[in-house]
Amino acid sequence: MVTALAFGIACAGATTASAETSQTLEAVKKAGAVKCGANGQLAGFSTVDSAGKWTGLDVDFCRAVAAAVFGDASKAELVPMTSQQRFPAIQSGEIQLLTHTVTATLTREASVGMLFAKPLFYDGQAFMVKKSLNVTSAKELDGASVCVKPGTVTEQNIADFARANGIKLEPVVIEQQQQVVEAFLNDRCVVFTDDSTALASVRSEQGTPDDFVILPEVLSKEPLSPGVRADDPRWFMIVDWVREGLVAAEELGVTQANVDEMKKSQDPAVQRLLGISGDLGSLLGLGNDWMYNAIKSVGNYGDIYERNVGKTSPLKQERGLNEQWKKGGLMYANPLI
Amino acid sequence: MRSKTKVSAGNRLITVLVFGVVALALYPLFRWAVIDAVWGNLGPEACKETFGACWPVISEKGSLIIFGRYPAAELWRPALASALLLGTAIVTAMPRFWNKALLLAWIAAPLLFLTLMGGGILGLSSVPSSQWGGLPITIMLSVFGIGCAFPLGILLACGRLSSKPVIRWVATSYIEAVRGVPLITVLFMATFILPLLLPSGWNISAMVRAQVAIILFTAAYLAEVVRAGMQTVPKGQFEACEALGISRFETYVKVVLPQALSMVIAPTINTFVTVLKDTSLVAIVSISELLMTARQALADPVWRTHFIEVYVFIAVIYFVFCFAMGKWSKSLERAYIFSKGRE
Amino acid sequence: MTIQKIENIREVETTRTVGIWWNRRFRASIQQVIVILCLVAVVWFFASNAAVNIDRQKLNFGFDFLWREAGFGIGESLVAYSSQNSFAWAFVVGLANTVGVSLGALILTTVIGFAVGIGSLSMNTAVRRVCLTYVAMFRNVPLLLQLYLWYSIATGLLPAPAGAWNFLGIYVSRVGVYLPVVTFSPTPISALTSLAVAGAVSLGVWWFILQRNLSLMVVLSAAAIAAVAWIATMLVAGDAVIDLPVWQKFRFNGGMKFSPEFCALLLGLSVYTASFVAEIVRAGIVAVKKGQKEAAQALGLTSGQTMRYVVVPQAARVIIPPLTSQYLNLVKNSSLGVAIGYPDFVSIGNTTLNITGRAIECVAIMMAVYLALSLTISALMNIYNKKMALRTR
Repeated sequence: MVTALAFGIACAGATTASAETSQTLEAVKKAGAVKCGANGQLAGFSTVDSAGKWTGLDVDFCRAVAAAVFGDASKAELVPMTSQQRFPAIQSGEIQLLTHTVTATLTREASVGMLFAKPLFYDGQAFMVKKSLNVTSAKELDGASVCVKPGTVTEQNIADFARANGIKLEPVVIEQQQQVVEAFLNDRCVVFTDDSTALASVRSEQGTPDDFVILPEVLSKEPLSPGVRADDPRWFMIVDWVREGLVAAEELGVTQANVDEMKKSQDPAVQRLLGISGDLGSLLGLGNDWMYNAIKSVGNYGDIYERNVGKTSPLKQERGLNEQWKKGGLMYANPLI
Repeated sequence: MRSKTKVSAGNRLITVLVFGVVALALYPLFRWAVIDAVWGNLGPEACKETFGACWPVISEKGSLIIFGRYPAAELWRPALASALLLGTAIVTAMPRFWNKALLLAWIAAPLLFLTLMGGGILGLSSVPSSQWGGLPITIMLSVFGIGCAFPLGILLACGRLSSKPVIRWVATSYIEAVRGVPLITVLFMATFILPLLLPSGWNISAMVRAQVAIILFTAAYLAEVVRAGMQTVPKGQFEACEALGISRFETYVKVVLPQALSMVIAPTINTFVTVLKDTSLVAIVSISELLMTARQALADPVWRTHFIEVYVFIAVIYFVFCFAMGKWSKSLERAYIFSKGRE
Repeated sequence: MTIQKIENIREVETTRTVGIWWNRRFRASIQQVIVILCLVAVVWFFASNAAVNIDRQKLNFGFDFLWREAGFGIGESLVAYSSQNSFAWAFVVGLANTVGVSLGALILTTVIGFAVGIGSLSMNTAVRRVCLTYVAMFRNVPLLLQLYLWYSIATGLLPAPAGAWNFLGIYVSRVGVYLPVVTFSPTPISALTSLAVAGAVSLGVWWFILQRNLSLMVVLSAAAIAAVAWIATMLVAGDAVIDLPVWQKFRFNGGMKFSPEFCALLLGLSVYTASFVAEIVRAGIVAVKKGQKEAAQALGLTSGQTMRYVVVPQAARVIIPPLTSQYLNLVKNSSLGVAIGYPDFVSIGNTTLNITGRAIECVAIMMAVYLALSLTISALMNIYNKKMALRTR
């Protein structure tokens, strides 16, 4: 056991950091990897195939942060976890970044002790039923059983929805993603509820996606945001600004494909973003080429979206709320100056 | 005389009835598992037509179930590592190999296991523990769990029987507290809470925490088994040892424990079997042991409907291990009881 | 007394000759002090780290959250619950569910376990083989795996609710088992008449029993007959109706519901634990010396009487202690319900943990409650054990 412990304990050593540097950043650099907690079973956001290869929007964001810190996206280490495990994991420092399609809420920031970066994905909770039921509105679902994952805002939303509409819904709470889907497919529940994109993800994985209908009611606002522990504001800044950088890159037309050419761009905003001028990266305690590395590895926000959940992906999601602000969406990057 | 033939006629009727019922129950099972089943290395389409078992799911997903997401090119490493650990355990199961060399083997085997699995030295590529999975993890959790819990359990049993009130009280409350709660809450404690109780920066992997939980949990149960054995050793033996000037430590190691343990062979090995079965619980805290990898295999939508085949497959693996341990317990017990001329 | 004196003299002697370090009592107290110090050090280490971590992360610590509104629904509960209730009440609901499924499983386990245990000693080879196979099969496969299998069968192989299997108004389908129930709405007159009928029936049965000097089992069946008579009278009078479950668009209405999670957990727990109980029962009966049975038969007792007055009381003394620990295991194992979505105590604790982020508090509550539950059961079984031991001596 002593040997097992010796293998297992990676002592990060003395943590005497001044207010200027991020403790978490130091620990991450020392360990040589950014550890991100992710779902691992949700196509489009984070899945892991049988060879252990991770893909998805959450995964790409984790890689972007790793690239910004190390200049190497492969330094992202993804840890699969259930929704139960994610908060204790971030509280304890087992992971440094939570990319687990977490909805940012007040209670979570205040009570769990986290800070959420700006959303990576604006979503809303919806209901999915089998087409054969001929249901067109969630309000017709009085008495239905609803499959739902535990410990999620989702669980509270259905209780609120039922109360507001004077109907009864019976939750069937099952922990593992795959198992809750199985229960729904097997008719254990009439309804499956989750964020609508997650529902689309489940639907896309079935052989016959047309057998399922996602009902039009949107129960809630679900800003799915990367989260970090509240005690390290400098680390929060890094995560938050990587997200801003990815959105800004799309606005400025810097893509994974053209990022090398764009280095020669005369646009001062592009120059600052890619670290040709200014010292944005070093202000965060990173290399000045932080965003260049991130974009080179995973692309800008639009690239990430299209690859994982967009029209070309199996999920086939419109940009909707996640479109750039200039095109009517909510993706608006604060200025990188 | 007459009543005897009457009994045997009734007996025969019951036999026929039982066989009838068993046959009625087994025939559909046999049809499903053998006659109507699809065999071989085929795709999921092959199973569309039949109501029988779809065994291709095992050949398709077998490697994922047994080895988890360990890199495909390196599968010989977990295979060899598990074989080493299992081999050591099997050799240990045979009393004729009990000697000093075995102790050395027990130091070497876990080290070799971890080296082979983790790599990073001797030209082996490094594989992080998050990619370990399947049967090797089950074997590791069980073997390390038993190996470390055993001495701890003996210590606790001695503590509970100690004449010193404080030591007795500490050991007793530990044993009773642990035996009073379900393993899953201990695993939650190790997974969710332990990191909060350690200085920040101590980063112990989830697997090691689960391992520690299994050890601490098992130790309490083993302690009770060992205590029961120790209580069968007559008081006179302690006094005799004391009169002969044998030290306390030697009294326990050379006189009391050998007798005590041979009295409780069956319950001890039962506890080992329980440990093996209990390792499946770490699946609930997302560690990829055998049951977890089986479920990961079932996540694939094309194979999803063949859950019975997959569950039966791993049930057989668990069964073989547990059943063998039960047989071992019987033979060990027989050997000891006969050699000592008891009963 | 004299031994104590010799001890004392020896102690004084050793102290005088080799110094206080070799004094036995002194060493004992030193050892105990060291143990206490270690214990304090470990507790202090964990507590201080927890305090630092909680403080650094600006977390709250305390049980005040228990009185806040839970806000989540619970699929099935034995006590009234709505999402507006407090977390504390949600815990109570979880506990009730745990106790409910454990009680059901305890009864089922005892029945199966005793049947299989006695069967495994049957004179009939076929019966014996079947019983022994049962034991070997179910005790050597992890319970969690069995639960997953039962649950997958309950939700994957049973018919969809619209085409549920129906025997006598009992509907079995993927959404659970629904039983018809009798609902009462008695008027004073019908209540009185039916009570009178039931009373008459039970008096009749009682007289019948007294005549033949029959046993407790018969008394119990008489009570059952009386109950059936009472219900029948109420039904005839129209003051009770049989509430049949009926499938509507999304669910069965009416009847009594057992969810697939409950059924899978109940069945899995019982079948698994019964394999252990069977072994215990078998060992207990084997432990009764053969001579005892022969002596009883020689005295002219029938085999039933031998079983009842000779074998069972003696076997019970061997059986009860290990049986207690199996019952305890069953209650603890019911916590695995969380894996298949049964809203037991651990499941509610988990959800609460996640909504509130109070990991330490929630796990502490779980452990404390299970500990209390275990201690209560073993105390009750101890009392029963003592009673049995006294009666047989």
